[in-house]
Amino acid sequence: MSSRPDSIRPDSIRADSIRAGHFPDLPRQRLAGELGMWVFLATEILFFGGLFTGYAVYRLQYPDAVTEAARHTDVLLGSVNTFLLLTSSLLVALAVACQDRPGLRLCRLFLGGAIALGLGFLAVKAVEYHADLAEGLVPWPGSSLPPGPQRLFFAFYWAMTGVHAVHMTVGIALLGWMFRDLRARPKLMRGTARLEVAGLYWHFVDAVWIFLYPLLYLVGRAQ
Amino acid sequence: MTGRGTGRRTGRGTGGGTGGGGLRQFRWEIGVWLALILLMGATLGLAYLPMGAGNPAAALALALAKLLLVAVFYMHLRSSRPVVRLAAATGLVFLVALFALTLADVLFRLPAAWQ
Amino acid sequence: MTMATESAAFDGGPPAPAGSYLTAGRGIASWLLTRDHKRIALLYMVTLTLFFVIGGVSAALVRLELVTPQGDLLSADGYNQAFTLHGIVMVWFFLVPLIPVSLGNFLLPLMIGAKDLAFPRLNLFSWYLNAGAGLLVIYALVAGGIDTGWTFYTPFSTVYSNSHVFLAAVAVFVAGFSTIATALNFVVTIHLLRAPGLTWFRLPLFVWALYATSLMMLLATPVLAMVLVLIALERVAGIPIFDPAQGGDPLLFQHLFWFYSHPAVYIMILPAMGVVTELLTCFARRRVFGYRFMVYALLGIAAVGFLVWGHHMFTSGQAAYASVIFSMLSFLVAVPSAIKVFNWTATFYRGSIRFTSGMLYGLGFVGLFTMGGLTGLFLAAIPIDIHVHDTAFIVAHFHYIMVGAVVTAFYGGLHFWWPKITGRLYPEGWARFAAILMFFGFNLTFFPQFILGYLGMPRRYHSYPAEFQVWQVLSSGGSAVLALAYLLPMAYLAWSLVWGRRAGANPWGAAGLEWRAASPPPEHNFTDEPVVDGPPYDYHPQGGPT
Repeated sequence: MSSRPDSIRPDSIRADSIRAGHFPDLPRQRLAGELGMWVFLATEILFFGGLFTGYAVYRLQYPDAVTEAARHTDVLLGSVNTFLLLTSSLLVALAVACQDRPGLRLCRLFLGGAIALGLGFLAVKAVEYHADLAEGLVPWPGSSLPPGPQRLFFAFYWAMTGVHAVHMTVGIALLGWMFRDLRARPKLMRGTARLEVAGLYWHFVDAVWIFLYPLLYLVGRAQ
Repeated sequence: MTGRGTGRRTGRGTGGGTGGGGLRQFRWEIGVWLALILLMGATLGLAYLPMGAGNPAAALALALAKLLLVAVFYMHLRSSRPVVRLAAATGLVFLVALFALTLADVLFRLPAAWQ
Repeated sequence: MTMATESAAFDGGPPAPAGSYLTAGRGIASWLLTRDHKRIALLYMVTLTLFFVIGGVSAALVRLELVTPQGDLLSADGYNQAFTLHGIVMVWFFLVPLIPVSLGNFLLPLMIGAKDLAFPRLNLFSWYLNAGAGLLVIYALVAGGIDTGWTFYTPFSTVYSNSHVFLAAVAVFVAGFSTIATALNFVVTIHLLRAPGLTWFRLPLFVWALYATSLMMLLATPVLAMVLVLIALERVAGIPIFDPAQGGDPLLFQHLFWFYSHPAVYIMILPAMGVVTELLTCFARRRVFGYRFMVYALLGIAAVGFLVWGHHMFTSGQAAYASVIFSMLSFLVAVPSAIKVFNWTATFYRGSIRFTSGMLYGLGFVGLFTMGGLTGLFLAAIPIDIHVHDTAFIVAHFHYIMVGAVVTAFYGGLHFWWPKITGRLYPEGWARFAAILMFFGFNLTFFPQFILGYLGMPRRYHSYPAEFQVWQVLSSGGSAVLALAYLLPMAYLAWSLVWGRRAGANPWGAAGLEWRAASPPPEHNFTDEPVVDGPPYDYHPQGGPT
């Protein structure tokens, strides 16, 4: 494997200054952070899982209405956003990969790029929401859609993208925090799993979008 | 002190390394990204190909492939400890339970099921 | 301060150890900003007591109203609000967090020989989330109440109810995140912070129970959180997720709701099972019978408990095929539950049993749990469930498990570890009296409701035909006894804080790492790092009698 062995770490950092007192050693503290985030992501899977279940139930009950309604979403903007998110995940992975390099400049550069792409995603989403509102592609009163299951599809469109956008915002804040600490507290960032843990969250939010993309933007395109 | 939690890698970093230069050191990360973009293109393209029930099936299969790439490489499940993999798998297993038993009701309530 | 060992059992009254966690910092800020799991446990006990009182008072209103067949004390709306408040507060702010956040928080690090939980700040944060959410519920109550029942069924909760459903949904959502934070903390702690030598199959069953409970909390609570978000979105933004007028499916709500809310029952009962195992083994001086099967049973209940939620929907229009599947899976949960009851019983074989208050609470638990579990089998059978669905029979059944068994076990655990937590002993005679009173008070309250339900008394009605009155009066009378049994320990335990005899490190001669720490423990739990070299419940030589 190409990973760096752990043994170089305790020499290169002052282990005790960043170890919390109730952990017996630093690797265990790092693993706790990593495991803690994964456990949280398991709960996030079930959180979004509730939404996906609801989507599946209605898509099975009303296949034609869902196909009809889904054609109104904007494939171009959805695809652009998918591209932005996948690329931001690459940049986060690169930032984590160069966390242990001598200078942290490259690491910050990658992380800054990921944050920029994340903000770009939200900007595109805002443009898209604006257009949706103008066209009346909404499930609530004032909708241009016929009453019935078509509105249910857009109920899920708004709920799913909305909850995802909230997660994006949290993710951007998290990456921004790490971006600052890479400069302000480099020792802490190198010794602990913080960057890795923030990255895990980001990748998860990306992974959710990987599923939202075909479910919301690509249904009913083949006619 | 030895035993659990020590003496093993924490499974960080999928590629690169401390030495080397240029993009080669990031070949894993970039390779995975290329694969992701290709899969995304395939998802988009296949969506316009009339395949009936094959359309959602293909879209979900490709999304699953992308998910696996992100989880295994970017989220480092490739080199994670078993307990971390267990945490990741548990969420998915119970999601399947939620889906399976909910659909066990919904599928049998569909109009097609009455005829 | 010396390390106490088992030979220090039954000591009279050693001086209070210098520098316990209680004296480690002074002033209100040292409590409100503490990261010590033991202090956070006490913070939780304060808020839990508050919510118990609120939930109890609303239950008292319900029982008072039901003394007479007419709806005379409360209006129909007032009655709806009373039982809704009772349900919401008792389920999410008392029973679900009860044992994990109080006894679990205090004892988990001690029982595995750790200095603290893995994420101490998260632990404190989860208390603030819980307390804040509780305040929100109290505000909703003052602002006009909620009338949907704790189950929030759509479309009533989304389209028709004019009460504060949104506030309640937000509060329960936040409380859910508090439980998730605690559970996450427990799981990481159990995985990574066990003392040297403390392998998985040397863990006390209370730790295993907390582990299984945490898994259920982590996997079930997010689905509830999502369904509450959807209710809130439907009420506030008019997003018609569950609206039948747009083709929405109210059964979808029920699936998502019960995916959490059925496991919630196991979230309540599993920690209680863990507590009771500690009590019974200690006061019977026996290793627990079939330790490994007890572990597998806990994990089995946790896993299969996720697959049975549809038995709440037999009469809701769920597909018959699904009902059959859910019915069979529901019967399946009885297997690990029965294993636990049989193993507790078998633990007594050749034991040296002392009927202390701890033992009496433990036996009360086994009795009530068996009653609740067996009536659960009735309800897993579709024909009987259809007959008694939404009657007082259901109310009696789930109270036997969620209240009878769980609260009895909590009181038992509180007595058992009271010397550890406070360094004081309580008056044993009063404690035995309270344990017996609790068992009889509970049965008097809820057994009549089995009969009422079987005769056809629906739940959530504030008036009823006169022929039911005798059972209703019995039940209400029992609830007064039960209230007394719940209040009595609060009185003598508070008394013991000042006048109780000082406890040694191990007043019961119990096995388990927590008894190796001083009573009350110092801030970082152990003066020397504990090392474990044997199995749990080491009360007698392997195989032989004590």
